[in-house]
Amino acid sequence: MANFWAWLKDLFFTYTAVIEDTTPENPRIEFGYLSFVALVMTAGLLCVSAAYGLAWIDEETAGWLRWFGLTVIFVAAVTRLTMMNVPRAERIGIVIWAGIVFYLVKIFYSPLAFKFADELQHWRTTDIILETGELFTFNPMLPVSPYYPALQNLTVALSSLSGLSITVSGMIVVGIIRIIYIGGMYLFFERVSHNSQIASLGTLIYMTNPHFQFLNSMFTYQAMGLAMIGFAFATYTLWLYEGRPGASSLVALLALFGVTVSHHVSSYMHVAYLMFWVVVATFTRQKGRDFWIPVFLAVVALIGSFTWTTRVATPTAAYLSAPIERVQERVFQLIERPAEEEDTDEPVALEEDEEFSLPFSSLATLLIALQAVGWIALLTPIGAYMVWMESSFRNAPAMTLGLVGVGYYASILLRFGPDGAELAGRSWPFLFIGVGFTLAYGFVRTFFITQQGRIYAQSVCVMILSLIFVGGMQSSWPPGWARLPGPYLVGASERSVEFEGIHAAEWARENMPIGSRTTGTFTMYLLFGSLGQQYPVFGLAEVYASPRFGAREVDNLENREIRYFVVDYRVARSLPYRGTYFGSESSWEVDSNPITIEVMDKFEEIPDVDRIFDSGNLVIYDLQEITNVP
Amino acid sequence: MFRKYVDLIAYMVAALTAIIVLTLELPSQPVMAILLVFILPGYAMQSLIYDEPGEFARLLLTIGISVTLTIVLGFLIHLSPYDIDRQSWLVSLSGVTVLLGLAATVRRMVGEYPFRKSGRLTVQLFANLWIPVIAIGVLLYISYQFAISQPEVPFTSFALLAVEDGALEVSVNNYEQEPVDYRIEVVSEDGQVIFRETTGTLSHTSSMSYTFDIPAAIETERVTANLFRDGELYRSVWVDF
Repeated sequence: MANFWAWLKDLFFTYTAVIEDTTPENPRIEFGYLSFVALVMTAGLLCVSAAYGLAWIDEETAGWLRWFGLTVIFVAAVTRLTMMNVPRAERIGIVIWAGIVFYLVKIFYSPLAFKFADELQHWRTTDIILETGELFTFNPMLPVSPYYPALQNLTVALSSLSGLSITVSGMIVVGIIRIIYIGGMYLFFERVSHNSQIASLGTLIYMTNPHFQFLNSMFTYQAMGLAMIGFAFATYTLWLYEGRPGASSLVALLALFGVTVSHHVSSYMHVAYLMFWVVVATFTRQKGRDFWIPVFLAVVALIGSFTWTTRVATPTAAYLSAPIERVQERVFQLIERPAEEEDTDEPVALEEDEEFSLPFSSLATLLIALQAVGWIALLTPIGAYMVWMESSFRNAPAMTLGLVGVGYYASILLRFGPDGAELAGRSWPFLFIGVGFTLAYGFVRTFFITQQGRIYAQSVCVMILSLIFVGGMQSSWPPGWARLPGPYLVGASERSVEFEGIHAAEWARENMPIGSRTTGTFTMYLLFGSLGQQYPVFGLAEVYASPRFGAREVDNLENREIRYFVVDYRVARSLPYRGTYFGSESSWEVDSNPITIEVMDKFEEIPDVDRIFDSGNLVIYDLQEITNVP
Repeated sequence: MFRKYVDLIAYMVAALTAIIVLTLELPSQPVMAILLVFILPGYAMQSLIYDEPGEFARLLLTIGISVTLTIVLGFLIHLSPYDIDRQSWLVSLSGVTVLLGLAATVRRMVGEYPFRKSGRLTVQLFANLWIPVIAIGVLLYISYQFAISQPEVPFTSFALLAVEDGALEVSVNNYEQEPVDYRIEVVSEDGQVIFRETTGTLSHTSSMSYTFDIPAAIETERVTANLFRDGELYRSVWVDF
């Protein structure tokens, strides 16, 4: 028996001293307990995946199993990372594996196809580049996307050379850039703090940001932008601390360029971080390289982002100003109208007792989310204070991260404003770089150093961080009803994308003229606009939901030059989960009843309308004779 | 001497293998494409630029630089007279990979190089890790199997399109999760049969299409194609003239 345990211990825990490293402070790479921790995290992933499988057969335990799996993944990692005397290589291995496992949580949600709206929009941009061989070609689904083609360049290169589909190539690309995303952040934190425990714990705390698991794991330009930010800051610190300034600066500038052309908001946040760094460096009287390198980077990044936005990615301003104007509009509405009238014209889709109808479907789940906010709000200032005091006003990048961490308060305030949930959510992936570092610094420098790694200090830390993780996941996106895969749901974004719709879009690609103006529900907008290569048109909810087809409807279709109308009979099953069938019902709101089959049947009675495709639930009508669109 | 260049020799062998495999479109293209896009250019460039950043930083720089170089190359191809296609990617990435590899070799020849023992890393990793790696691999495989076990709702799609020269094409796709016998009947407005066919047994995911002309003797403003399954009308599509 003793021999068995010795064998098991040898198998999982003792293969160390693998290589002699050349860095004097760390002469040997030791992987310690990495394989065991990785195995436990993978077992957590298995639970999540099993939950996904059970969700397809509507098994009630699926939701709990998913939560259990996610918690196992995080707790396994955080337990080991909070221990003292863990080898550096093991810490790196754990955070990288955690990043990959959380990416697989998203991939296994839909392993065979992209289902999320943003992914389909970027799929179309990639497809356009493959078809035309050109960058910057118009994408009707997301006109700004072609102007930030870093993700597409990688995907097109891989797809062209390997022969793999865009979807598979995209999944591989996002998986690989996740390594530089997580790894870059770790290296940045480590170079700044000179401590692998702070770096690894900070990186893991970053993963508690509510958008890490899904939104930042998608095939989108934001995933690319964040990865490039992680890599860029790692190269900046290598330039700052490793010597050989000339050659290192070349790599830093390459990375800076990568951030600029990856994603607009990431590029601006990157500039903001650098400017902040410069301000801190100025106030703390940094000298020499410590001052001029951030100044140089900030100036180049600012000029680069400004030039790219104004000279190349010209649609960006209009794209980003729209949500800002919406916020302004809502603010004015709030000021002008009494508060009690505020909700009267909100389109309400689901019954109050509908299961998983809202992200906060009960008081308990709301409290779970709020406690995470409370812990971060409570502990971040402590961490920031430690960062500032311990750095003795010499470590400008660390102090910058400390200040950014405190910026979390701004996101809380933003949360309570109009459209605040979305804006706050959008800011988390960037703010949590500071939050992660600051919290980790606080934990390590208070709990662990003062308590000499005592078990209770570690237990408290694991408990608090696990609570933050659970709270973050609870308030994450997608909403509750879409966190598990499953059969088709009405008006439910990714839960409305299924094989029949994909087949119809692919049929359209083969049989309808490319770029034909096509309208339908939001799901059909996504599928026909991406996989179908059509020009999807928004804003024809009135025609869809009108019980009759008269002159007004014809005018509407003519004005929007609609050639094809896609009818999805499944919308008659229920009200839309998202609160909207069509994505944007500006002049028409969802009624208290679903759209009826009779309403959708109106096209059948119209002369000169061709019914060219029928898959049972989906019907495509050709309106060419009515709208005279070529 | 040999040990000083062992990693660059391995690099060159990998680069040439990748270029040959991708040029001749031999098997294992995906692996070689990943190598050429995400590993090789970055490895050469970090060897050229950094003396000894540490093993992890080296890995990170290898991937990160490869990613940024590929992004830059995409823009350069766009600005060139060539299209962004397989050939331009192959030429540009191969060129950059070989040039950077040569530059890294030259630098190592002329400069001092801090010695590394990469060979032992590889050997010992595999010697000690194989059971845990297999265990993790098995768990990942089972997880993937769970993830892809997504039941599909059965359906049949049926379509009718006007094609060239006034002909019509009717097509049926079976996604019913079982073999199905279909019957297609195309009729004019007044019920005259224009085309009639049975598909035979169509297996799941199979499709069948037929092209036919409308006989000159039949004058109609609408042609309706009906699909029958088990003798029952199942789908119906039409085209107006």
